[in-house]
Amino acid sequence: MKILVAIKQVPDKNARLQIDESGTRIVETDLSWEINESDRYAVETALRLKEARGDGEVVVVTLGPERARKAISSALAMGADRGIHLVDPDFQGGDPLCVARALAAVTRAEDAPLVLCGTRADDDGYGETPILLAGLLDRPAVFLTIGVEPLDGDRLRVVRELEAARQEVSEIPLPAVLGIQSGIFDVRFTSLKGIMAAKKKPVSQPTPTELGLSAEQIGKAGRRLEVLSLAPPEKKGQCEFIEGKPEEVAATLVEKLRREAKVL
Amino acid sequence: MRSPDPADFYDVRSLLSDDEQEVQDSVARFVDEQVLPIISDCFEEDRFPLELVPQMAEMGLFGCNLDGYGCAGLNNVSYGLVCQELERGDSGVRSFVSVQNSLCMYPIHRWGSEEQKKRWLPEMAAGRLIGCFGLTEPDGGSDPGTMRTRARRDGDDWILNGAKMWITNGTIADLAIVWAASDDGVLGFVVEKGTPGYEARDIRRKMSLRASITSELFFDDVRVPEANRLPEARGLAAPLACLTQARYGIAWGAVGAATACLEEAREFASARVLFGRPLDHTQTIQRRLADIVRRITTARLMALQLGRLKDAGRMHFAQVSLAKWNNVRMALDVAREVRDILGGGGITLDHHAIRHALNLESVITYEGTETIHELIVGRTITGVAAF
Repeated sequence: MKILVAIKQVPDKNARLQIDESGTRIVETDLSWEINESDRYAVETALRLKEARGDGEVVVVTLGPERARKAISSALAMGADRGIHLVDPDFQGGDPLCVARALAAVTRAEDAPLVLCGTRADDDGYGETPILLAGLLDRPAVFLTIGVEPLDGDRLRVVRELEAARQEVSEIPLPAVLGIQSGIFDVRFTSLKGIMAAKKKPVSQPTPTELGLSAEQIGKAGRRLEVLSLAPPEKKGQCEFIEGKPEEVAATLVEKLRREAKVL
Repeated sequence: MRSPDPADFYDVRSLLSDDEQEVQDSVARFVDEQVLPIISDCFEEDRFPLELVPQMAEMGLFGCNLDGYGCAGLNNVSYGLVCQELERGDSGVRSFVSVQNSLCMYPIHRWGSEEQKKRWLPEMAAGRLIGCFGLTEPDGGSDPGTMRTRARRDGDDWILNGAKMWITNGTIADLAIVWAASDDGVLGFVVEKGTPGYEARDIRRKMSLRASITSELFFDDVRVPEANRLPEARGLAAPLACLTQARYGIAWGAVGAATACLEEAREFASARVLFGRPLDHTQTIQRRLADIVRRITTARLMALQLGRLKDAGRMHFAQVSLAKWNNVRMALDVAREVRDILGGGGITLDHHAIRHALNLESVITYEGTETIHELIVGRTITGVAAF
C-alpha cells in the first residue's frame, strides 16, 4: 500500500520567535527548523504500517520554500522511501484551503489510498489542513488518531483520542485520511545509515501545472484568509512562594494546581 | 539581530551540512532520552550501561565513519559530532564508542585481510561483538616502544605473553586488538574471548569513568593463529595511528562535556538567589560564565576545523595532539569551575559537573597525557624530538 504523509517544517520548539515589521509574520532569519511534532508521529505511523504489512511505499510530501527540503530529508532518513517537495513559488503563502488543494492534487496524482497528516502544526496551529483535505478528496477521515491497525480487505481499525483520555475505536475503509496525534508511541531514532541512505532517495518537485492546479487555487493568489496581526503572549508575571514543611508545601501546591490552575 | 546561543556562541552549527546536523540531532536525542536519565546512577553504581549497546548499534554509531561491512560511511565531522553528543552525556559512554570504532574496528578495516573484515566488522557494527584495545602496559603508557608483551612464532601460530593495563571494555570484550613486540617489530593480533591463557580482570576502586569498564588483560602462552594477525599492520606506527583516530574523537567529545557543564551552570546561576538577587546578576558569575563560553567557543571551532582537515585528508597527528590537549584541558577546567559555581550541591551526582570533572581526569591522562601532546607539538614546531 502506498502511504502519503504530509509534513510541515516549523520553527524549532525552543526558538524565540520575533514578529516582523509588518506585524503579520515571524522573522525567519537565524531560526532553526524541524519537522512539526505530530507530523513526525505521522511518519512513524506510516513506517510502522509498512513494516507490519511487509510491503508498500511511504511517500512524504511537504509544501514550503527551499529550506523545507531538510524536513523531507529528515523523514527520508527515518525510513520514508521518496519525497515530494511543493517548492514552486506559486504554492507559497496560501491559507489552509490552498495547502489542502495542493495536497489533494498530489494524492490524486500518486493514487495513494492512505494519507497521514499530523493533527495540527506547532506554528500557525490551524489544524484545518487534514480536515479540508479529506473533504476535497471525499474520503472518510479520523483525527486525533492514536492507533492504527490494518485489517483484511483494505480496512483500518483506528483509535481516536477523546477528551479526558477516553478513546473511541472505529473501522474505516480505504481510501482515507488520518490526522495523527503526537505522543502515541516512541518515534524511532534516526539511524546514521538512514541519513546516508536518504541522500540517494528521489525527491520530486512537481509544478502546479503538472498537478493540474491553476495559480488562483493555491498560494498567495488563492488565499482568502488574511492575517491582520500577530501578538506575543502578554507578560503576566506572577510568582507565589509557598512556605512551610515539604509535605504541607506539596499539599498546597496540588490544591492550587487543581483549583486555580485547573491542570490536575 | 538575535542574541547568540551561549552553548554555540559563534553559531558553529551553521557551518555543518544538513546531514551533519541530522547526525548531531539524532545522537543528541538519544543522549537526552536514553543516557542522561540513567547515567548518574550508573556512575554511582560503578556500572557500564550495557543495555544501551543495542540501541547505539541500531543507530549505526559503531564504525560510523568507516565504509562498507555494515558501517554507515559518514564523514569525520559527523563522527566528531557523535562523540561530542555522547560525551555531553558521559565520557564513559563516549569512550565505549571510541574504543569500538577508532581502536578496534578501524585497525581491522585498515590493516585486516578481506576475510578478517568480513568476519568481524559487520558483527561489531551490529554491536554483537564488542572490542577492546590492548596497547598500554602496567609499567607505563606514555612509552609504548618499550612494550614487554611478546609474540613468538610457533609454526602456523603465534604465542603471546604479557599484560595490558587500563583497557576499556576489557572484561566485556569478545575480541581484543593486542599489540605485541616480535622479532619483526610490533604486530597486531585479534585475540578472541575464551582463548586459553587469555584473561581479563576489572580494575576496581576507580573514582573516574565509573560508567565505563576498565580492565587488565593477561596473556599466558596464548596461542593465536596467524589468521588472527592483522597482516598489514607493521611497527608501532599502526597502534599510534589508532590513537590518532581516537584522540580525534576525544577532541570533539570534550566540547560536549564542557557544554553540558555550561548549561548546568547557567540554569543554576539564574535560579539560585543569593544576597537578594540571582547569582547570574553578579559580576563575579557573569565573568566566570563569559570565560567558560570563550573557552568552549574556541574549542568548538578547533574541533570543527580539525574535522574538515581530516575529511580533506590533510590532518596531521600533531594537529590532533593540539586539539586533544587544548579541548580536554578546557573541558576539565570548565567542569571544575562549574562544580564550584554549583556550590555545595555541586559535589553530588544530582548535578552533572562533578561526574564530568572526575571523568575528565581520566580523559586528560589517557590517549596521551598533556605533556606527551605538548612534546608532540613541540617536536613538530622545532623538528627535534625531546622525548
